[in-house]
Amino acid sequence: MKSTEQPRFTISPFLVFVFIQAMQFGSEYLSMSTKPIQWAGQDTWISVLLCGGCFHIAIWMIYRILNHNGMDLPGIHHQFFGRWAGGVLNFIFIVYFLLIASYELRFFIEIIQVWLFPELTTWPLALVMLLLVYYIVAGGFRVIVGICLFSLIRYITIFALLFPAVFFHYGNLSPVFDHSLNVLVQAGKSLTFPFGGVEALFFCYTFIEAPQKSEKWAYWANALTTVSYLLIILFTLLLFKPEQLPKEIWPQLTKYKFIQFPFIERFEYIGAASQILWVIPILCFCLWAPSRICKLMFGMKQLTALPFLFVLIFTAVCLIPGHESIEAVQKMLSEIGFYLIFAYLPFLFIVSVIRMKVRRVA
Amino acid sequence: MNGVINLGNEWLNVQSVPQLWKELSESADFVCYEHLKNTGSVYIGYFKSLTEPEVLQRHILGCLSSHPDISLEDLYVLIPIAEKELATKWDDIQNKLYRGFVAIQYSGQSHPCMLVNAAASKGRSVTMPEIEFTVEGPKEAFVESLDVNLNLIRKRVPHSDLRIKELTVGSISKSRVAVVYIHGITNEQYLNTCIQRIEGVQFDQITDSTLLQQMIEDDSNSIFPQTIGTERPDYVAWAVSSGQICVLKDGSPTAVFAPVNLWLFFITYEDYYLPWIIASMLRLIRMFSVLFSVYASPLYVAVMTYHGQGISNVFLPTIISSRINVPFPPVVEVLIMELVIELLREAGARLPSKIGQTIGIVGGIVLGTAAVEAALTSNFLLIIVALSALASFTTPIFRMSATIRMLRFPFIFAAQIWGLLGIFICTFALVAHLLRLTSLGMPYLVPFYPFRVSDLYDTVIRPPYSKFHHRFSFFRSSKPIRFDKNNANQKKDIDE
Amino acid sequence: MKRLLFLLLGICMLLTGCVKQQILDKITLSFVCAFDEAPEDQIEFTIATPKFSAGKSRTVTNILQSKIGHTSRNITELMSLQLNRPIKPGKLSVILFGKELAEKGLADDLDVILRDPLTSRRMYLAVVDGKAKEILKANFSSNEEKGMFLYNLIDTNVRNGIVPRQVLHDFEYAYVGKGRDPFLPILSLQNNQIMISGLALFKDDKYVRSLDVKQMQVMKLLQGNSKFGTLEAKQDNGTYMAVKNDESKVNYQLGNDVSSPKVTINLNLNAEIIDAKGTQLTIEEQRRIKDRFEQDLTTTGKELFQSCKEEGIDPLGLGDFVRSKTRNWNEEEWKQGYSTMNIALNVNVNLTEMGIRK
Repeated sequence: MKSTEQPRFTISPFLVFVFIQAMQFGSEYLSMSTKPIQWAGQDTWISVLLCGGCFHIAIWMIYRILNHNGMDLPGIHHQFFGRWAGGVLNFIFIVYFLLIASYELRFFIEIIQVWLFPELTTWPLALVMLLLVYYIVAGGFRVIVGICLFSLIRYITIFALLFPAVFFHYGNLSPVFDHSLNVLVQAGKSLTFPFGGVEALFFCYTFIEAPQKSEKWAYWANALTTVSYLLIILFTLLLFKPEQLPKEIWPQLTKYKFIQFPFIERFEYIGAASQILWVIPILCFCLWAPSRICKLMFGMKQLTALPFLFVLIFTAVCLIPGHESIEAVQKMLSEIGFYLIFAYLPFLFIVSVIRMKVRRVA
Repeated sequence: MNGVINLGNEWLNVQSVPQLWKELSESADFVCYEHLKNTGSVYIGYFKSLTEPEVLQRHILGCLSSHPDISLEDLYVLIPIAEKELATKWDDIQNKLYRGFVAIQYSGQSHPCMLVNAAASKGRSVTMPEIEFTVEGPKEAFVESLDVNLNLIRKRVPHSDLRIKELTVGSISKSRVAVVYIHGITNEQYLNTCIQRIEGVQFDQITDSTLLQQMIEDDSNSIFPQTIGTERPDYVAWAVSSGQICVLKDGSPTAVFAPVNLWLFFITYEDYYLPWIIASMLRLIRMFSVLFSVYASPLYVAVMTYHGQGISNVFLPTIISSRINVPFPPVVEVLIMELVIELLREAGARLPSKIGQTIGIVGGIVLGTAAVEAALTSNFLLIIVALSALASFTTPIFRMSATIRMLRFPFIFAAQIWGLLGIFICTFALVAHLLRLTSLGMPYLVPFYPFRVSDLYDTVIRPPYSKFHHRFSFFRSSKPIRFDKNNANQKKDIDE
Repeated sequence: MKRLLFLLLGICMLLTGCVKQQILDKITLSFVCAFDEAPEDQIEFTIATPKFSAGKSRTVTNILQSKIGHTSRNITELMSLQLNRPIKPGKLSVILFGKELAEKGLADDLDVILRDPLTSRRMYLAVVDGKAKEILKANFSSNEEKGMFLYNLIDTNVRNGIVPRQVLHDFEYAYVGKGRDPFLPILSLQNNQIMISGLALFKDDKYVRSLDVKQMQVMKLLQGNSKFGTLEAKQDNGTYMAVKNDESKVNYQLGNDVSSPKVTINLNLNAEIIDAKGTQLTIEEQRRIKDRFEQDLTTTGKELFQSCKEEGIDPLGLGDFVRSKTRNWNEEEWKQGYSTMNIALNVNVNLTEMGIRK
């Protein structure tokens, strides 16, 4: 089946791999290892695999829903639930994406404020980032995926993990399976927020050239994210004792303190500034998707909706003051994301399956 | 002498011919005279500055004097010049006169005018290329005459499908523009876009094909060129057989071709004459030097202003002690040095060659050493700025090296405002701009974005010719296969 | 066109987004700092700052700042009242602690360093026999900057010598983590020369005991695989012989009995004889030398274990090792059983080479 957009604006199925892993692997990975390791200690890697498996299933469900109906989520809402209820659900998604964008941006600005420039106020950086994102989004979906491809450069920082190798204590990984399944599931639950991002598939489905073919690439993207998170958790376990972690806010940035090249020592500058590679793709998509929903729901042009969303995100970012509020926002988003993937998605799937059966019978 | 003359697409009123010549005689170089014959007079008109006197005297006047009573039609057959015609429309006659034709008009007869080509070809002869000089390979370069250029191209592509479409552009310059392509290999859509854009140009004076280049570009606000100009006919032959379209203009030694992507700007044609490993290494050096040229000064500003504590202990004393007496902050230091280098470059470009050498010595050695001793700058920075200036000239295409020189200034400002973060943001803005750029509709960053694995082979490294079995798919040609790859080398066992 | 306006607007606003510059030659850097005990529960904080001169890349420290206060950051502020350039702590590579302060506990002072985003976790810490400020005052390096000298001193001995590694990260790891206790090298000043005179063992974060050089060497051998070090032992006939450690491997084994835990440490050393004092090295003789060395190492090791058990400290990390091998490990139980625990040491010395003479 072909996509419903003009071929000039579509992306090839392989780029879905790049896109989905850019959406999933956001900058929340910096602080993701503290809570699961509190719960599950040295068996956290099992929770990571568990979570990755759940998201595999989630992607499967998403593709079944999308393939059966051949359109993206706003259209599905419209069809399934009628105009008003569908509109409300679409609006919830708009708010959700705007919240994620504000959170990611504020998180990034906080990192810059703590690690690089303590005297930097929030709003100039937010303004510049949003202008940059506006320029990218105004170029269309293809440009956004191009930026995701460019941000793959961030995997070079994996080499940074080699430097603390002399400090690894392999004994931290054993004994294996020392924790109960309950605890592992708890740890897995706190990992759902970093894994989230697959709901982006709902909105870009019509922009893929041959949507059915892109399914396997989405699985590969999830696998890559799982492997990356596994590596991160592994190295955190090897490097830190579980008791050290509650005191570290961003353990992954701390690992940059170990790097010593012959000519560069304080690698944290580069590490903290390079977080922009994690943040920009998500910001771009989270600004593009609501404008697209607005276009489909209200019929306005995306370019006119963008400035409004821009202002909304800017005010939201400036209103979040300090570290505690950011953590509160993260908790809230984590809950919303969890229910989105594990409650709303199966519900949608069941409704879709019932409609298919009803249509076949009728 | 009588009758109203309607100029334009009208039949000539033969009694009014001298009147017409009078119009043109306003210019001092238009010659017209009567050649008296028994049956009447023959009016001959031509532009002295455009015609070859030899042709006029020997062939035309010779024929006329040896056959005094010949009629126009017989004269037409007799004159031993290949390009001649009989014209009736005034526009045609005028155009041809401006191209160096001689007009012969019999008075007293209602006959059309005969036009004979006597154009003088004055211009350079084919010499070595000056900008794109290669050590190996042919050393012919384009000249200003369109016909000579087309000759050079046709020699290299003696294929029946090589088509040349001629257009006239410019209301005052009325230049002949030739679009060269191979029918069947070039994509029709790109070709039509190109021709439409050339036809749509509304300018009056087009002096060079580079003006055309800027007028048919996709995005004229971008500092990145979206077409490549070259003076080598072998490069044009290669481009045309890859599926690109080439545009030549009469009076310009530069051939412009499109569509192009970013990676083609780092390829010299010499790469194809060298063995593939060496050529690939040279390409990698070029790309690295471009990155260095753009990022070296901004990184210096960022590190010295904000991230100085990131420098390792071994280097710290050297760097600090080199800067200790400099009163300016690093950004001012860098800007001063960059401006000095730009000054040197601009001055060197305008000076006659004898003085140019002296200025080079004065600028390079004296200014540099004196600046360090006067503590206007540090010697560490001097090395960086000089190296990055040199590195910006490694791109073979001249327009791109200008772009790269200009590109580092926004980065320097961004580094001054927010250090390394500013450089990252600026990089993203640059990448976003490149992603949005297209050349005749083809994305600028292909084959890296949209990602096509099969086309990666000739971008960063140049593989051996046995791997060149298909053309780039982003040129979308109708015949993508160059040769059948199954005929390539067979694998053999040892001593077999 | 609209986009251009936006960008211009953004650029104008950027003028208000300026951040503080830290131009390298306009700040004061310091590579080493020292903490000392001061009366009324205060600390004395000393830093040594290098002075750079134009054209010469060698720098000599000749400025010492010292103040007393409650928190080191406040002290730094007070110090900057005396300096013409602001102090930035980003290049700190070595931190020295006075002995009395170490006995009181280091965790509080380390908090400020661990919290700062710009400090490296690879910086070396050291305990000074006496007052740390005195070491910084002394002129022990004539043409090299003091902080760099100290850093290189400790670094060389850790990488290529007999001092076990304990950087800031290791210290925090051992201090916070269960089943391990930290240690730090001891620096002492003799005749205007600095030397590493031993190892300081800590219980939690308080300094309790010190090891001399020989015990420190054995501890490094027992801590992990190492390729450096020279051992000497007294032979039967009274002479001392020296061997060089080519490669040593150590592994720990846990005894099977859960009720009475036993840890066996197996040390395997490939040694090269470098000083035989002229003795003829027959097979018999080599076996005797091997026995002597093994005995020597075992004795020193057992002394080490004994003193650790007496103090109740665990610098080798045996608790951590046991934790990784048993399920449901409990730190309290371990600590109680530690003093009576059986630690066996098996040393095996292989004399593989003997230089270029027999």
